[in-house]
Amino acid sequence: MTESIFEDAVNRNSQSLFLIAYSYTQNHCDAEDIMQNTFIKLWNYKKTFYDDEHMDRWLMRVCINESKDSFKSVFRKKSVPLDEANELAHFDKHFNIDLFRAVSSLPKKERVVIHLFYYEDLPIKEISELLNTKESTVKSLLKRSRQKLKLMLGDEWINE
Amino acid sequence: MNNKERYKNTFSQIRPSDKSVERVIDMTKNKKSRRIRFSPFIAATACAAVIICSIIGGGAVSARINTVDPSTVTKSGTTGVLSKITDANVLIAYAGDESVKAKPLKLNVATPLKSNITITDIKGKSEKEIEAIVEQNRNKVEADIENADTATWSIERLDNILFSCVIYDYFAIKVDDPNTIESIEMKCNTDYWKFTYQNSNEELSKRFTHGNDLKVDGEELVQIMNKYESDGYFKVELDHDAAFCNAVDKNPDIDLSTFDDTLTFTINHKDGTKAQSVININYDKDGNFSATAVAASKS
Repeated sequence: MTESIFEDAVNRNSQSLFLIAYSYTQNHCDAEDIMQNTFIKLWNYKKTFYDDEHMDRWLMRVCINESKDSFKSVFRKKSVPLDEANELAHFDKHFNIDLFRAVSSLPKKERVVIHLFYYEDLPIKEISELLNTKESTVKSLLKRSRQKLKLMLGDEWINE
Repeated sequence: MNNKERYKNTFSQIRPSDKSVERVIDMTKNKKSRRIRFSPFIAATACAAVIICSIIGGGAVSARINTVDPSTVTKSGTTGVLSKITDANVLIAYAGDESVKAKPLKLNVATPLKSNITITDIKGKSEKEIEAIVEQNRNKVEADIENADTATWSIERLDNILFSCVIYDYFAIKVDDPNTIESIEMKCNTDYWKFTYQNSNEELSKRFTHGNDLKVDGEELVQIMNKYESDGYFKVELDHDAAFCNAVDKNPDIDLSTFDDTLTFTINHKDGTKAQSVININYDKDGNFSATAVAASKS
């Protein structure tokens, strides 16, 4: 892999991979570590990809595996408590703190499915393939988490 | 604004630091280290099982090939599988504990080394079939570690064999106060084994330190203990070194006792005292791994 292809991949995917990892860990440091480890695997990858889309899906899959593994790792960085007041200062008016808190309160599996569906725009079939789970399970997780979000957010969450 | 827009507007503002992304880009400038760290730990038992499998299968294990991509798998294919679960309690040196004078100290009983191995004969199989086996093994590993507190795993491919290995737990050296420690030394007696720990280096390709004769100085120890969750322990993994696989490559019928080793952990304190623990690792005739403390001292 050339440096320019690698850099393009990093620029194209870093935010996406970070957020997938964050949806698992809810920890900024661990999510960055997972994102970095994912790119290390790309850098060391010997085979070629058909196109960017193929590479991006590969990265997503590796990131999900890395995220799952991170919960069992011996070497975990110390968590830094979220300084919410400080963090909020960096967000613009479109940041919805109620939505952020509501999603954060969901169980891990529901958070991840919600994230892949609403942020990555992935269809249920692709989510099930990425998570190595049945489509019916994804549908069920999506339904359950939507109900919870509606309950927590009221009018801020539109029934679908 | 619909749900998707609202979600994207919110979560797009949670971003990785520029520094973490720059670190990834910088990695390309150091092309020397290109080994995939698919797993931080390959167990002693894994290697033993490789030997056993090759004997059963009648095939020689030859040159080691790089690790397998976890995503290039399909969902079909079956294969013969040998599974084995072994465990071993190990003992380590405890810094500042007077009782090491008289007898060895037992490692925290919550952290025995334990491994779960699956060995698969891949001779004559197509790439697609092998990828399917990787997926199968990956699923098994995920199921195995579901309820474990800590576990590391690997799926490694050799010419004739694919082995997946889960290791539960690690060596944990009790460090009451890292500021009182001059250094920690860890030594394997043979070249077949090596230790691995996560260091304080920020460069991605140098994040782990490996070796069969390592010395962690006090300053770095303080940094490591501050940076990672430690619970008062310095954590170290045991891994097989290249010499192990080379030996198997040359002689698949090799006597397992060849890989017996003695591990020595020494804590040197700034006040001139030291605590040491010596651990024997070996296999029984069935390839079960065990680690036994044979000596501990403080001077």
